[in-house]
Formats: sequence, structure tokens, C-alpha cells
Amino acid sequence: MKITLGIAATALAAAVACWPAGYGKAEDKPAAPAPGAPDLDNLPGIVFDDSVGDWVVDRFAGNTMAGSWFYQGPALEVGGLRPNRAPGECVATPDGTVYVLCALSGGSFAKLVEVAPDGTLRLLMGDKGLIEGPMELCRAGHPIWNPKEKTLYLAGLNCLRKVVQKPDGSSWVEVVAGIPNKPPTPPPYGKPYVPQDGPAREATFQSWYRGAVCNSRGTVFWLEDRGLRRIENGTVSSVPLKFSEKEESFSFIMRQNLLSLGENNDTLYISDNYGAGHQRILRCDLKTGQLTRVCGINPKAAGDRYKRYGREADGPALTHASDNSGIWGHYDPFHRALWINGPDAKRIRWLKLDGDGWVRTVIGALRPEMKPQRFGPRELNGAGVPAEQFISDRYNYYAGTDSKGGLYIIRWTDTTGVWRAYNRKEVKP
Amino acid sequence: MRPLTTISLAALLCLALLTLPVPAAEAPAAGALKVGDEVVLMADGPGRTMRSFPAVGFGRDLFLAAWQEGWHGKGGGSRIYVARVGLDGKTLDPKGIELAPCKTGVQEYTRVAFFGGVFLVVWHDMRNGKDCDVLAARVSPEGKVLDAQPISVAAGPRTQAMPDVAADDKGFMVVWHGFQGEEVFPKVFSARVGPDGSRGEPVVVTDGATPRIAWNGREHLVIYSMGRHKRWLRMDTSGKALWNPTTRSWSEGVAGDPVCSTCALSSERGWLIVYHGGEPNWWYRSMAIQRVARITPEGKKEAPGDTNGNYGPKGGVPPENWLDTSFGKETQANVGGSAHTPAVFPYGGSALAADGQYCVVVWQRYHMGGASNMEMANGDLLASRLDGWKPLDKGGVPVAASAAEEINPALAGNGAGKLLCAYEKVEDGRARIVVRTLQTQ
Repeated sequence: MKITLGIAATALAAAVACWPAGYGKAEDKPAAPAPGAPDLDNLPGIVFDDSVGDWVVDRFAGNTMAGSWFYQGPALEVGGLRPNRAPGECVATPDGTVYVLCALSGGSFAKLVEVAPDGTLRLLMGDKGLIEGPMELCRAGHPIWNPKEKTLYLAGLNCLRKVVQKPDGSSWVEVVAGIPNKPPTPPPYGKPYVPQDGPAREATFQSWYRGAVCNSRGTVFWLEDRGLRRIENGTVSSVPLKFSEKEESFSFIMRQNLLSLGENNDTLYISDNYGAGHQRILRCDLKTGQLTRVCGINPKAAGDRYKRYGREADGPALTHASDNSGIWGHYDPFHRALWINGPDAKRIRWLKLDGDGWVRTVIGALRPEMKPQRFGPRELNGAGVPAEQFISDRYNYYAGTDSKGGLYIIRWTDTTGVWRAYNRKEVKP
Repeated sequence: MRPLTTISLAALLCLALLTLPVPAAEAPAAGALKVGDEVVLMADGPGRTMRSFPAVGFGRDLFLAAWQEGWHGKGGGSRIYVARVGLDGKTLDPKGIELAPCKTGVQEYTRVAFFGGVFLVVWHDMRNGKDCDVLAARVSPEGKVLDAQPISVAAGPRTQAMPDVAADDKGFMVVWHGFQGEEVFPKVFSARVGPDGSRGEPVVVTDGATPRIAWNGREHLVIYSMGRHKRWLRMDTSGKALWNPTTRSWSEGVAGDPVCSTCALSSERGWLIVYHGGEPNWWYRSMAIQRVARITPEGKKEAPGDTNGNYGPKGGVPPENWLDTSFGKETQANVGGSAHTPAVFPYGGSALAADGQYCVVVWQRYHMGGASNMEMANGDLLASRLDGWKPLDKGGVPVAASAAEEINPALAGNGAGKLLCAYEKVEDGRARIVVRTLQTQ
């Protein structure tokens, strides 16, 4: 008892002694924000974009009640669609055709479908088939649009394939880079990994697909766990990357399509999306290889680990914006913005490149002054649903964009289809 | 006791234990379910490397296998083919029989039943290039297609798809789902087709999609999907859903993926359904299960245990009605994920048929692999006899378990211990339809 009392008395004395030394003095508290300026220390998790009330969502493909067997027909009457639960699996082409890769988590039962401009959904490739040959006999891959050649490319299976249109109207799939089903040879024990570059048909690519894009010059970039590859003029080379932070490697987990085109042919965005300090969206300057964080709190540099880091939080991109199990960003040329989203994200947010550097919510959350509307299966399969009512009890995923300002969305809890959001003041359905 | 004596006694005890027979309950009942040799149906068909979704019916001492031959996607021309197969498992039509030649569109998802001396084969057909219609054609046991033009079961302006057919005491009952007018969601329809090819008027059965049907000698069971749930109802031969006074409802249901198979036991014992559990996910919180439940003549589900949970069965012991599960099995690290996933994953299609004494089930089980290590990479087929919901061949008897992918089983029985299982076999991206006999008595 005596000892306990002694410790308590000592602690009290120390506390009293410290008080005049300055702890808790009023002048040490952060200054109150200026009138009208946001209180950055108490910023709410959701910061709405000014346009939030202008966005609406239409069902684009699939039907919630049409069952889990896939069949073809009018896009809104099709069952069993199951888009792949990854960002960027909807690829829209300039003529209005939209390609959607569908699969279960992990890649089972992959199929590539096409929604034609007239709204008819057809199967293009299934999960069984050849690597090369007539398109209908080949198995599906992740769709990539080559704007220079106006051609569909397919990524996956350790290779890049190209869909060639034959004069008779048929389509043929051929490998243009990589060796199908042959991953890179592991380095000898203790030796560093060296990418196997060189002639495109002799280079090797990792098995687990992380993302690939094609710019307007027809150059394909292929993201891997240990670097970035460039496929150009029949040759594969590695892009020498310069990390500007202490973590000089990627730490991807769980998701695919973590690579995005940027605002010009020399810029890409890479979503390095999981792990302490690694929840970051990096701008990649292809001329220098420099990687620069453009979004995501760096808790080691900015602190505030527990208040906003690892949460679906809006605000200044580098100091306040974060997400749960990772963050990813994809460039939308129509809006000159990065769509910000993540594996556990309920909201779809953006970071406008010409804006003030804040991440703001556009879709999937209701402004406090708005009343929730009924949002049942009928609304989920209808058109013109206010985007702020488009709320998911699990996750809303960015799936792609089109040249008319449309944003494609898939949902974790309703795996039956694809939705398209748009700003009704900017574009027509 | 001296140490040497102790060691000797222990060695003797071990030897005695090793020579004890394995309890019968732990191993498949040897000889109870014999699997015949594999026979390829039409090796060199027009579908080149693409053929899929077989169906089988039995009548007049032979089986009729039907399947879609060729690519069914854009630019494709898949056609329904049939072949008769004898009780010995040998095909009588090695070149196959094209059921409904057509210059345009694709034909998919065929099903078969037998009544009044003819087989009725139903499928959906996208010959207008825009939406599906439900068509049917009769085939005689002599292998002759009796309808020069297919019977138009449902050819309305919007999608009419995913048909199934059962024979009852009056003829054939066809069910499918379709869209009417401006409706956003599909409804389940039924229509009678006579053995003479006559077609009755379609009747709306219920809201829902992808129906499956089985006749138990008194009533039909229609099992269908409703969003992410499967539901079932009893239906009379006029296509009218039957009210259940016990449960005071028209239908019953259970959560989970609607994919399932069904067959009848008898008017006194009801029906069986086999359905799978969850799909793979990144966190390995989804169990793979293939399981059986009995639907009583009153329409109630009967099974000793069930779960759609993510963490295992209650008490850690799989219930007796589980045919197969990933629970408790070996795991492997998934690539690009954060956890381990099971090395085998029972998932997907199954097929049920009666053999006269028992029902027999054939189900899919996948080996996990691919780039993620959680891709269902190699499907195998296993079988068991069922006494009600109780599997009699614990662990399953391999029907097709080669390095090739063997999936999408279909099954029919002759009611006297002989069954035919048809399935897809995929090797190097090339699919074939193959059959094997199963013998239970």
C-alpha cells in the first residue's frame, strides 16, 4: 500500500511539475481556422463535390432477377453476367462498344462479353479454349484498347494477345508478346530478379495480372509486382523506376488493373494499394521514371495514422485522403480527373487534376440535407437513379469510363451487372 | 517389464492395428457404384473444339444425349445435336443428329425428357440475333427427328430462355423464364407439350428465373432463382402453383447461389435437390460445399444441417447431408491475395437421377490453381447413391478425375440400376462430350 501511494504521489507531482512547463498551454494549440476556411483537423470523412447532385446512374447491362446462368440477348435482360470484381474491366471504344471481362474472384469462369451500341450483349470469348486461333475458339483475357490500331488486345496467361480482323470479317487472336503459360524463370537463390526483356515473343511476363494499358502511340505498358514493362515495336523493355519515398518497391495485394493511362503519353498512374505506407497512387513520369505520390496519406511523413489513414476519407489528397484495404486511381480524360476508389470502397470519388488537390465524393453517399429514396431491385435495374442514392452496403467499384463522360460501375453485392453513371448537365445517356 | 519386451509388444500391437480392415463407412462402398468406360460422342463434329452443356433422357431401353455443338457466342452457330446411347454406353449415332438446322443464330442449354414413346428436346435459340426463344423438337427412339420445324414453345418479342422439361402422367411440361411487356424482371412460365407435338398456352407460374422441374408422380417441383436466392414451389399439371396450407405459403426458399439440380423420389417422399455453397474469395471466408436436401411432398426442406456461413459448420463437423466440402481440407497460399485457399473446391453443376432404388448424384469438384492459385482449374466428377438426403458412398466415387477438366454433368437412369452420365471433357482448350455408364445394382 505504501509503495502504491508513493507511486501515485510521485506521478501527481510530476504532472504538476510539467504543467507550467507548457503541456496543454493554450498558445500551443493549433490556431483556429480562419473564418470560411475548412477546419482541416476536424474534416469530415466525406467531402462532397459540388456536382454530386447532377450525377445519375443507369443500369447498363445485366438483370438482378435473371438468375446466375449466363445467356445472351438485350443487355438489360441478361442473366449470370458476373463482371470481374476489379477496377477497369469495362473498356469502352470510340464507336460505343463496351467490352466487359467477367469472372469469379481469382479468375474462374472468365468470359469476355461485348455490349454493342444497340444494347445487344454477346459473348466474345469463354473460359475454355485456345490461346491463339479463331477468336471464338480462344479463351478470354483482360481487354485493352489500342487507340492507334483501333484494335482490341487481351492480357493474361503470361502474354499479350491481339485480335486481328480478317478481310472476311472474322477475328483471329494472335500472341504479340510473352510466352503463353510460361512465367519468368526465378533467379538463383540470393540473386536479384532480372526481368526477361528482349524480343517480344521471347520475353516473359508474370502470371498474376496486375494491369496493362495502351497509349495513343500504340505502346503497351504492363505492370508487374517488381516493375513496369514497355512493349513497343516488337520489343519488351523495363522502365527504370525512381521511387521518391523510402519504400522503393510496390506492395500490391488482392487486386488487378492497378495501372492507368494519364493525361498524356508520358504519364501513367500506378495504384500501389496496400500495406503500411504503401497506400498510395503514384504518378509515373515515363521520361524520367520518376514516381511521385499524388494521392493517399503517407502516415510515415504526414502522421495522422489512426484518424484518417485506412479509412474512406476525403480531403486534401496527400494529407487527408485515404481508403480502407487500399486505394486506387484511374484517369478519366473526359473530366481530367482521377477516379479514386478501393477494394472496400462504398463511394466513388475523384481528384480533379485542374482542381485544388482535394479528393471529393461524387457517387455513393447522400448529402445530409437530402432524404434517402427507396433503392430496391427496381431502382437498381432502372435508369436515372440519383448517384448519391446509389448506395452499397458493401462496395461500389470503378469499372471504366467512356469518351462521352460516362463512368462504369460494378457492385460487390449485386454481381449481376454493370451500371453507367453520368453528369446529366454534361452528357446525355 | 524389460524394455525389449515392451518394444516387442508395442510393435505387435501396431502390426495388429495395421492389419485391421478399414471401416466400410470411411471408404466408398466398393462395387456398389460401378463406373463404365468413357465414350466420346461425335469426335469430329462441326463444332471443332467447342461443345458444351449436355443433357440426357431415358426411354424405351436407350438414352438420348443432347448437347450444344459449336461456338455459341458472337458470330457462332452452335446447334443442338443428339445421339442415342445404348444401355452398354455405346453410341448408336456416332455422327450425331442435328436437331433443328438453321442458317442463323445460336442454340443453347438443351434439356431432355421422354413420354409416350418420344423424347422431347427443348433449348433456347437466338436465331434472330437479338434475343432468345424457347423451342423444342421430338425425337423417336429410332433416332428420327419428328418435327421438321421446331415447336415454338415461347417466341415472344423479348427474352424467353433457360428452359427445362419433365414428363408427367399427361405429357411434357416445359418451364422457362421470360420477359413480358415492359416488365423489368422475368417471370417463370410453363406450357404443356403433347407427345404429338401439340403445345398448350403458356401460363405464368411465378416471378423468378432459370427454373428446373421434376415430377414425383403426383406434382411437379419447380425450383427457380429469385435474386441471390433459390426458391421452389409445387405445381400441378395445369401449370398452377399449389398453396401449402402447412407453411401458409406458395413457395419456400433458401439463400445462396440458385444453381442446383433436382429429381423426384416418389409422391410419398417428394424430391431431392443438390446445391453448392459459396464461391472462392480473397479472404478464404467462403466454404465450398456440395450438399443434398430433401423437399417433402408438402414442399418443406429437410436436411440435418445447413449453412451459408463463411467459417465452417456448427461444431466443426460437416453435416451428414454434405457430399463434399473444402472445409478442413488442405490449403495453399493464394497469389495476389492475403490468405490461404483450399486446394480443392466442390462447386458448380450437379446432376441427379433415380435408379429404381436410390437416387444417384454426380457433382463437380475443382482443383484450385491458375495464376491466382484460387482459380478453379481442373474439374472432376464424383458420384454417390443417396438414401433421401443421406449420401451412401462417403467421399464419392470418382466418375471422371483425369488431368483434363471434366464438368457440367447430366444424368438419367433406367429405373433398374443403370444410369448414363454425360459431361464435358476439356483438354488443351478442346472440349468433347463424353458419356459413361453408372451401375448401382
